[in-house]
Amino acid sequence: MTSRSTRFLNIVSPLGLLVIWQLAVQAGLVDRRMFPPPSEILTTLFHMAETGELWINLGASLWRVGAGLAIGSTAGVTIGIIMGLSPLVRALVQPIISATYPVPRTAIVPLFLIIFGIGELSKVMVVATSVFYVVIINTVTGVLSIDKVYLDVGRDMKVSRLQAFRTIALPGALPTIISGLKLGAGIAFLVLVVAEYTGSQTGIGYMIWEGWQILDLDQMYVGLLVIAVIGWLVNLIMDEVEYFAVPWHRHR
Amino acid sequence: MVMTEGRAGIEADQKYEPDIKIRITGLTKSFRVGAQDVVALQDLSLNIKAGEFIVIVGPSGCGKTTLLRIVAGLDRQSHGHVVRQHADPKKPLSTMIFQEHAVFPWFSVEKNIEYGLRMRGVPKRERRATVEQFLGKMGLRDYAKAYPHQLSGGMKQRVSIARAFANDPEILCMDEPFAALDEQNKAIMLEELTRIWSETLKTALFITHSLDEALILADRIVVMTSRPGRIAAIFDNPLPRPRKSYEIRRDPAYGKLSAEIWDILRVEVLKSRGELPA
Repeated sequence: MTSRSTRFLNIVSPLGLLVIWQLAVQAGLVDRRMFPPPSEILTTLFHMAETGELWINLGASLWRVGAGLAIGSTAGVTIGIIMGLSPLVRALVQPIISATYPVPRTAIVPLFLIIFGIGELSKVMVVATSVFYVVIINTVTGVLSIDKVYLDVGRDMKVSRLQAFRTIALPGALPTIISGLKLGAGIAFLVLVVAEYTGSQTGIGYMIWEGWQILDLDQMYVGLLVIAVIGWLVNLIMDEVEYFAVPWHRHR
Repeated sequence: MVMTEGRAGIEADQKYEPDIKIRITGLTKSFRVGAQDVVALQDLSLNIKAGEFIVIVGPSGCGKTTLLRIVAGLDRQSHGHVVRQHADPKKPLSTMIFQEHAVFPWFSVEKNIEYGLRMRGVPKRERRATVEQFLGKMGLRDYAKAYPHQLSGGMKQRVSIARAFANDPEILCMDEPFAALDEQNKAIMLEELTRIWSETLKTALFITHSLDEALILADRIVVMTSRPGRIAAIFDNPLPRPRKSYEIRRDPAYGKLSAEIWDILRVEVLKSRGELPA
């Protein structure tokens, strides 16, 4: 399949799903009280955009995800590369990562509310922590999978530790690190929405939760739709980032 | 003159010989595999003159690569000494050309070639000139901005050679750099390597399984024994330079020397296969 037709299908398939939904409601095949048609959801969406309600919630969520991604991925990449290069650091840190990794990220929300308060910081930190785990695990894997011969070339050329980090470990692990960042971005939205269900008065998660509580299902669906679109856009952006950041690894 | 050395230090009674670039004395390397000590190299001694091209042949697993890595400073010996004369401390003492896949996939051809220079802080303009020179010498001018995955195996190995020569070391260590190439590419690369080497004054150590490669490249050919690696024999190569891969085969000395080396090597290969007592 050509890359152009692949991109075309990437856009067409979610739109097709919406069309099927709309037709199914209009034909009376599904209950409109539980599944309002996309046209009605879109009307609510435009209304919320006009009143500004949508932008406040979207802005709040994007800010939290952005800050959490930045903190989590910076820490994950840095510590991950050091772990990958140093068996000593790996031996010290790996058990801690392995032991805490199985705890579901959403389960730490109450703990973080206690530690960081109910303000912005707790939400950002929940996102940062979730991102940190996938990024660090991918980074360590990425560094460890670098062919030993590249590190030998570095030693043979008498490079410093910092140079080895910059010119061998980081680019060598970059394809795997970017896979980690992609996963991290997806998980960031997942945990953020859960974090916003409780202890928040703004955000897309809050919109969804409130929509359910006051039985304003249109608002709930707007929230779900926005999350879906954002998630999809983030994926596209990450693909572009990958394309330009890893020019030696292009598949298309 | 600076003397660099292995861990063990310079013997007090060694006399100063300006010609000797690498002095290997009583070199032994053993490592543990499971519960056993495996001796890879045993009491190996060899003097290599400045500017000499030494080719080392030997059966698989005889410790050739281990020897090369110790000389290059990438591995450490268990006993013995390697003393290398560093004539110009401003230049690197040695650089290795690895088997294959050793060009960085994340750097373009030109970034790969200038890597050593960049890492030791050579100014950009000077680097530019060196890169240009070696792009030309190795026929890579059209591929300066290409990434290695866009190149054939032979071209990648040219980048590897250019990277090592551009680094301008006094000693070149080469670990079967052409093992993965097909016959025709290998023949061309051998000529290119001899040409580029003859323009410099570098001391060269080259490891191979191929007697053809040895006869085209070497001033002296060192045959190693099966494990534990020692020196079985050393041959002077009388074939006149410059040598062309397919022309020197017409020289009767080529066949004679090839057969003489094989007589000794064959015994060692059979020993390494367990078909003759070690």
